[in-house]
Amino acid sequence: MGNGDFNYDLMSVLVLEDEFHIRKLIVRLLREIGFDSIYEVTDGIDGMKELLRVRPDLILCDIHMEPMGGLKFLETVRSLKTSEVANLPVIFLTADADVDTVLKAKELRVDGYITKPFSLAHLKIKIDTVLTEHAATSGD
Amino acid sequence: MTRTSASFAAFLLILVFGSGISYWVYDRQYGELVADGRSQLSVARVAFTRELNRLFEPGPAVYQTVTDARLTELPDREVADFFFAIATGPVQRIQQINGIYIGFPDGRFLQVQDLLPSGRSDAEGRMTRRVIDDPAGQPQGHWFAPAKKTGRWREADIPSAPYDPRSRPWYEKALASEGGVWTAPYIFASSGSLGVTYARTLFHDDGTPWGVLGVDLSLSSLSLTLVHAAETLAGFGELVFATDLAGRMLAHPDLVHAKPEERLDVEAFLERYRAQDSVERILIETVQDPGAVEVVAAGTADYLATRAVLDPDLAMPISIYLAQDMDTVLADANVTLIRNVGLLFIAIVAFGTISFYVVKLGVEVAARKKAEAELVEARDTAEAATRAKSAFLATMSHEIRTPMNGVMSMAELLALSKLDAEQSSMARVIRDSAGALLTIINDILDFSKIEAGKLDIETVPFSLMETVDGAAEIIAQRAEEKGLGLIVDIQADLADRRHGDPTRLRQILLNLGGNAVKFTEQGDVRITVRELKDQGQSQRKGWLRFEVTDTGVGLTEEQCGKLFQPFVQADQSTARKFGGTGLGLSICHRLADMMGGSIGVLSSPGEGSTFWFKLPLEGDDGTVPSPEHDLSPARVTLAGLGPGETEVAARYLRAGGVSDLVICGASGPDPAPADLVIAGLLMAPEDARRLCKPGGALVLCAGRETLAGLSATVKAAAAMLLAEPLTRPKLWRAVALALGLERADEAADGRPDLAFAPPPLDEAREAGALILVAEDNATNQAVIRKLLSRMGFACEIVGDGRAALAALEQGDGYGLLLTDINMPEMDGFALARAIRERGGATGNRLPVIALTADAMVETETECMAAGMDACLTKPIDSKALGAVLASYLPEGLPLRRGADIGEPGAEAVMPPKWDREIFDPASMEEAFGTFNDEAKEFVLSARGVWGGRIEEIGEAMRAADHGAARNAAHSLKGAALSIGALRLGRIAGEVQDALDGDDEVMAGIMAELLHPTLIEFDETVQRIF
Repeated sequence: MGNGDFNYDLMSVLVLEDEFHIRKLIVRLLREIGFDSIYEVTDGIDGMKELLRVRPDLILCDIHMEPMGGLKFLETVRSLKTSEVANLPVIFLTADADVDTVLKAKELRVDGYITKPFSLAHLKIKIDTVLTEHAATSGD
Repeated sequence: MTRTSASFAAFLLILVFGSGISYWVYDRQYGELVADGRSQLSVARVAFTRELNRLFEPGPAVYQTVTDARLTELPDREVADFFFAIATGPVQRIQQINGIYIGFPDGRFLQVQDLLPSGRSDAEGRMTRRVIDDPAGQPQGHWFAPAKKTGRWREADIPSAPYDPRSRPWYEKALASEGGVWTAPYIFASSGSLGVTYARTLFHDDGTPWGVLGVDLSLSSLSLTLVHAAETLAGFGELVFATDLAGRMLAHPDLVHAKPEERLDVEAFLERYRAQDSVERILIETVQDPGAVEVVAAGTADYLATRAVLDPDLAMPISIYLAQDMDTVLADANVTLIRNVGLLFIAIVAFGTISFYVVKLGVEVAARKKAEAELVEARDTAEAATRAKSAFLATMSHEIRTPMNGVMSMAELLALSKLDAEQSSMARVIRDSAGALLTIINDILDFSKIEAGKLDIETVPFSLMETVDGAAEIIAQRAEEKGLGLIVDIQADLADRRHGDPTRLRQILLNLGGNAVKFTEQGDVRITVRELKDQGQSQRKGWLRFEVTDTGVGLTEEQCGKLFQPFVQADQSTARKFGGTGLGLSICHRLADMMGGSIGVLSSPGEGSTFWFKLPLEGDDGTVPSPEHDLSPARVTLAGLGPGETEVAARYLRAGGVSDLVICGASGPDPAPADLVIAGLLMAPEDARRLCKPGGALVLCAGRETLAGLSATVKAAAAMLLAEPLTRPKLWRAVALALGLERADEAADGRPDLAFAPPPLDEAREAGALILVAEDNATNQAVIRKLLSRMGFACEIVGDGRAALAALEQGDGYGLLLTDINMPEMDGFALARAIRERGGATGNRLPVIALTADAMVETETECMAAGMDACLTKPIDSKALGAVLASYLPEGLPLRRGADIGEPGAEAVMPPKWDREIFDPASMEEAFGTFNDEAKEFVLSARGVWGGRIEEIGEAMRAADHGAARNAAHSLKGAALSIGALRLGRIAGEVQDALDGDDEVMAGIMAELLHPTLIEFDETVQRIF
């Protein structure tokens, strides 16, 4: 593989987003890309539970959520003991392009960062890039 | 003495000459550096353009988001909610977006804005929303603002005038155009800052306008962007500003540094640059041509200046002017000039000095020649010593190899056992390093064996095709990893049975092929075999020429010369980049020599290399390979393969008797429908499918990994998948398949090993082929019984070890025991030990096979220690079980009966999609033949007990009874996995693992997830049953 031809229908995605309408939009775009198994939650705590339960192949995550936001969620994921779960690819999807936030996310080894507004093409390219990189680093 | 003065004169001459050159270079460089200044400015222009396009990007980006969200398809009442969900974030967070709004043809209007129009309100924050949903009744609309504490949107009382979007310039301009439009820059009424609106019409599917989207972008950040971009481009701090296309000043760095009160009236501030004598004014008037760099005299100084125009599709149409003071350009240039002249002077002096010494050295050459003769003698002595050393190495390497094999197999076992991440990465490093070391040792061993004259070449009959194809399969794997094609091209009319040393032939091919892959980054590696005829000598009969051609880095003539010498790689740096001992080619050279042949290379740098070798391999007449069946009736089309591969495949097919062969190119009409289409992935599988006649077969060719990664639908559309390289047996088999002369791969779809029915119990007992199964879990009992009977074996099932022992004591006729490990009363280990103790007396050894849910090496070791013969993991892999039964219970094979299984597939229609981790019907399909009603009923009844198990786990956890919780989790894991509830089984397994590892917190978390996962299973199963 390598150039973006993924079997999206065999993968599962976890979406963390507290705003109902935005979440529905993300899910709609993911379906358009070809994903079938999409799991939705509205904050980091439920996200952790769903992550352990589902073991998704990809995580799309908002930053500002209550009670647990995206940065705290990512930090918790990265600190898990099981390396295959701790290293799952996480893409932030947020309107927050604040430099400090981006730096903090980088520090926590976020795999991708998309600032809203995002388009279908943009989202797909980002997902393909992240999945390709993830396959390359976890492959050997 | 004369020589010294002559040298001195020469030195002086060079100095004078050099000074001349220096001056000439100075003059030339001056011009070049001014040109440099120009090109720097051009680079800066491009960078600015990119930066500014980015500034305007949010306009088109918001439009794209709104389009992707398909607002036009939503019911009217949901439009506002979705619009605000999309638009609020960008207005709030993206600095240059001031507002986003949609105006509708009926006068309705939705708007998000980040400044209050009147500047006074009791609402907190600066954001507002405006909704005009009743243009006739309430043309001023409703305003909303976030409440102070909660941040919730509340209606706000903001006095405002009626507003009709349809009469606004942005609306009219957008409707009149197909794409996006930019309004002329104007002062925003809300903030007083300079801005521009991007507007674009959103259409219904039928092409009528649905609404017009507007995005207000503030130009106040334009000046800031100019300053930032200028700072980032080192050495460019001169003058940069932006105007609209009419030359009206829009942004200037001075504005960023201006006092706040000056900034209030942007228009007035920018007015000062319109004065006739301002540098800006002169530049605007002089530099007309976008892209050109011109020298402009303005005021007291000269400027290098250029102008850029932004792409109107991406950004607002504006002009950017960049200018740099000539003095700055030349100041930089002068520094460079002085440095260059200085360097040139030093170089000349150094050159003179060296020439002087060269003369002096000439004298010493004669003396050296004498020394060389002595060296030759020394070399002969050394070579003798080398041979002795090689003999020693040959022995030593062998001694090293034995323990290395031990290290490797232990490292492999270690990697399989339960390790944490760091330990397993350490184990992997041990294994990889040991592997690398072993390759090196093997090389040395071979080489020293040859040197010591200990390597024997044998002459045995062998198949040329199998040897070459076999080597190619090994190379293919590495080639695919690097994305290279591999073509095997054997002359089709060659006798196949040859006499020679196939092992050494394979070794040379693997070595050359391996090198070709290693040094090639893209393209193909091609292995060619031809009969050598051109010598025109009859004794040349049986000579073959092998070639391995790549499209890699290539070699210089000098490198080619050194290549076959031991320990030499073409370039010392390759050793670092690619590793290896540099012995491989040298070994090939010796092997070819020893087989009576020769080896060489044709290459030029950058164009790839062809390594060739010729060997005398006498062939037996009449052994040209041919297909088993008559393939001539087939109409075959080749499509979507690379040109080299197509050519070879066509030749192979014709050699097999296919005469009706069409090669389908990229263009041209489709050929007549074929019985068989052999297609590579350069053509989409759907397109290739169209070339087949109805009922014809499609065969897809690609690398093994690529094929494995194809989607299930694509795989299902193909009658057969051919892993590259394409060889004669593979291609011929594909044709035979298409003609119905052969059946599809047994391992592929049909499972003949599962098409049996068991014999009656008595018959099996009589033959001593009855299987005893000890398993406590009812679900698993049923799965095993079903599976065994489909494999044609009769079995008896008992619930624990004690019952199993009793059964064995009472009757005989049992040929094999399958036993679970975890059972009440007596577990699998105890059972096995008891059987072995008892069986020692009778001498009739009953094979005992363990079934375990823990796929761990320790478990397997423990099984062996208890006297078991093999260990299978749950969920049971029918193929593994089949292999075990075939080897431990061969008596059972002749008793199997054919089964009347209805055509599978008829009732196996599945509803489209669900996550297979929730429920994977594969194991049920395997057990029941197809996923029929019986299977569904079985799943539901098995699921009946899981809820109780989950409660049991929860209760035991609350009572801190970890042992009980663990056992319940273990049992749930086994049952869920057997049915195909993979996620539930995995989570139960994680509860068990966490408890085993005394991680109570994790066990608690995971245990809580069991219930929602069971609900998810129920919902999914309800949907698909």
